[in-house]
Amino acid sequence: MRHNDILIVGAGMAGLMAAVTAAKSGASVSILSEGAGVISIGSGAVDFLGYINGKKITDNPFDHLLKLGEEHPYNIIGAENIKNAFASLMEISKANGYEIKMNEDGINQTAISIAGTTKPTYICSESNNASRILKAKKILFAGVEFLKDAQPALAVKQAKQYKVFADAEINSALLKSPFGKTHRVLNSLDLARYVDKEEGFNWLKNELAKAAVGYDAVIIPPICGTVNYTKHFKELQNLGFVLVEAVSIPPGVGGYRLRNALINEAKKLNVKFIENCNVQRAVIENGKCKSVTALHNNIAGALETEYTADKFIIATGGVIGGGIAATPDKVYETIFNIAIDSPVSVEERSDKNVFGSHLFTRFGVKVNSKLQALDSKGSLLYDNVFFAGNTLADYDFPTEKSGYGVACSTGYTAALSALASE
Amino acid sequence: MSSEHINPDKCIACTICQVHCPVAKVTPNFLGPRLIGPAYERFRLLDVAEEESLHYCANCKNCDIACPQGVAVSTLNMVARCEYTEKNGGKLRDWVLSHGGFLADVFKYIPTWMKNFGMHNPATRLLLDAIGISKKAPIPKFDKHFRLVCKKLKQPKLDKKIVYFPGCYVDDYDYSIGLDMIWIFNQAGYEVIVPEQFSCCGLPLVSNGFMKDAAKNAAKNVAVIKEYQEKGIPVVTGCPSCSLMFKKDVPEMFPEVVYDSYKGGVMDAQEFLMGCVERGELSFAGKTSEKSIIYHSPCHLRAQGIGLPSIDLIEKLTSIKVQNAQAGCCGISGSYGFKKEKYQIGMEVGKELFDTIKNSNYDIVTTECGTCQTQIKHGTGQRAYHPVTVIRKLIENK
Repeated sequence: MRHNDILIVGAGMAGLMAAVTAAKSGASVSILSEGAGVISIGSGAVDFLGYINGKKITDNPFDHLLKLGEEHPYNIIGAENIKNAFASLMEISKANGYEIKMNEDGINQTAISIAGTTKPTYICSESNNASRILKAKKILFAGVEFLKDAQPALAVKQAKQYKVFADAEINSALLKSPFGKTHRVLNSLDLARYVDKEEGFNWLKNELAKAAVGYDAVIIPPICGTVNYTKHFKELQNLGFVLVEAVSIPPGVGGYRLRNALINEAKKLNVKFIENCNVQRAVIENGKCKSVTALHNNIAGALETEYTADKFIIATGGVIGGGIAATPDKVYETIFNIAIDSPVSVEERSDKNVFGSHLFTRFGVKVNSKLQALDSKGSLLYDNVFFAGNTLADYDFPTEKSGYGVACSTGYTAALSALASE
Repeated sequence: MSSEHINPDKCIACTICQVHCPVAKVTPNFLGPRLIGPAYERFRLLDVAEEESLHYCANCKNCDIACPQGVAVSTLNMVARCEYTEKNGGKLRDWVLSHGGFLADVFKYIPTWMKNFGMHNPATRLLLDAIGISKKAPIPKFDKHFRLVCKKLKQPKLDKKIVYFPGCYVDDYDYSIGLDMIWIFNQAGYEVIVPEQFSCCGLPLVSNGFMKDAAKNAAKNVAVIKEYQEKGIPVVTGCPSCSLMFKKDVPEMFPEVVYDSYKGGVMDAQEFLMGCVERGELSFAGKTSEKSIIYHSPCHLRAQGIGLPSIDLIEKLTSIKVQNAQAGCCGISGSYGFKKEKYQIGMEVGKELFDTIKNSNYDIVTTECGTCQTQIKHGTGQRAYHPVTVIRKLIENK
């Protein structure tokens, strides 16, 4: 049996944010995790709120929170916590070598994907911020030879459909691959890791200088380095054009940089990681969680370890992440076996339109303002357990574009609630 | 106990294992875990083809650790490699590297100096290089055979018993770790039993493609484990690769040898010792010398889902704060980094760890795994010790 002040289950955005927030106050913190957490393959852009009911938000998203309904996690924790969480994330990320920023006027920024689509996001690196090129007259969309994930000619076709690019001339080009044809098809992360090295950086600089002649702006896949990104991107901005990194399909590189920053912070704060285990159940005594039990290396029939703590933060994800299970006859939270209301008919759980708003994305644990779980009658379930991220009910991150925004702000708030509780 | 059915379709192709694979990080010649494992498994099930870069997998298990879907990626790879080896014949080099336990057992009565002269003289190293064992590789030197030394050792008669699985590294290359392990268990009130019948855990055999030999070892070892488990005597090992083999690979690959109460068979010794500390069975009074300690976590320990008990153990018993290097894989992966065509990959994988240790100026470097210790010495010039050895040295003020 191992004891911590605060035990966190889940190492995604919500779990890591909770861990560093709690550990910063001097609490002893351990994280139990299964899998490396999705941050490492994502774009690293933190979406706050891009759309409400399919309508794009063009001014400050904070002014629209009330339209989300009072059960939405943002309204449960309140604007102050969200603002503080974002400020904390930006500070942590910058202190650990990856600067991410929000717009000075508090409006969404535009990110462009390697497929040429655009999306609203709230906090991202300077390189991912495509708002910087919306007034450019001549834009080059550049891929790299043999980098199949990025097809700039197709991306140009897509980008030209947007009003914001209507007046610009957009062309495509392929930078010469530094490796030629390789056995494994290269992805953006392979190139970003190459660019970390001096030889790789020189390759990118020279190729860009050659390809960018006559352009105001150049969009490339996210290949400006991983650990040396900040230094390299800074230097690449001196080439005489505005450089943008597109956000990519996995591996998205930006997420890898962001996760490194968070893990680095956790390391400085002595957060302990217990990887590759699966939390099976909890022991409850007198309305408090006493311990959780984790199965070693996630193999049925293997040994288990019981972990005690004063407080627990559960950030195990939703239906996809495994924090919420959905079977034909019931929907429930997987550690505490909390029942979750769902329609009797399985068909009603999803929308016929695949890009529509699916009910299952809203499945999750109902909580009070401290992020403690409530039962179906609204009564408090456990004193010392706090929920964060996609384990929470009543938000639809894919259509709202609110995934990391909710994860970051509720992870932060869960840690504060845990620290403040008796 | 039901063994896990490995379903390649559990993989959602998210690429997280590619991102965390140390080998894919340094060479584009390796297709990477997702493609070699679950993706290619579909072709294997149809008996279509094998992927030529399968041999690049180091079996370090970082894919399993990274996977959010519970896909046993490394097991898929190893089973495929074993099937390939069975069909096409294995390399002499891989046989030699994987049968170290067997060879050492054959030669155990030969004096240590003679074995070392035989293995490490320049002519042998050239010959080994010619069959594919890099002449630059830090092949460990033979030491006195642990279980021969152990037989002559007088332990105090203690009520509580524990079975110790030494593993090949302790048996053949560093018997002192085994003696330190016996010392600490005696301190905790346990008499240590080291059964003669234990063989190599079989992990090197699996990693090098020799599934049938690994199955034989598994059956033999599990029979011994069962005998003691039925008597209520726990079985432990200080080697993370051995315990991972018993916990994960044996039930996954050889479900026929395990039984209902097997429960992973062998426990990590350091985790067990932490239990002793918590039960009040093990503590040391008095102050230890002020040394700074940096710890490297072997991948095969991280894969066990038990965290890093050695850090807690050293901190609790010596009151010295331990710095976790948290700098990734050392690159050796058992015998992987000894291979001529893999040596450079291993060194590049380990670079972050080497740099972290070299730039940190800690007095003591510690890690449980024998081959990690070897690789750290090779990459940094600084010797790394087993955590239990570190505790003993500090307590006895050596």
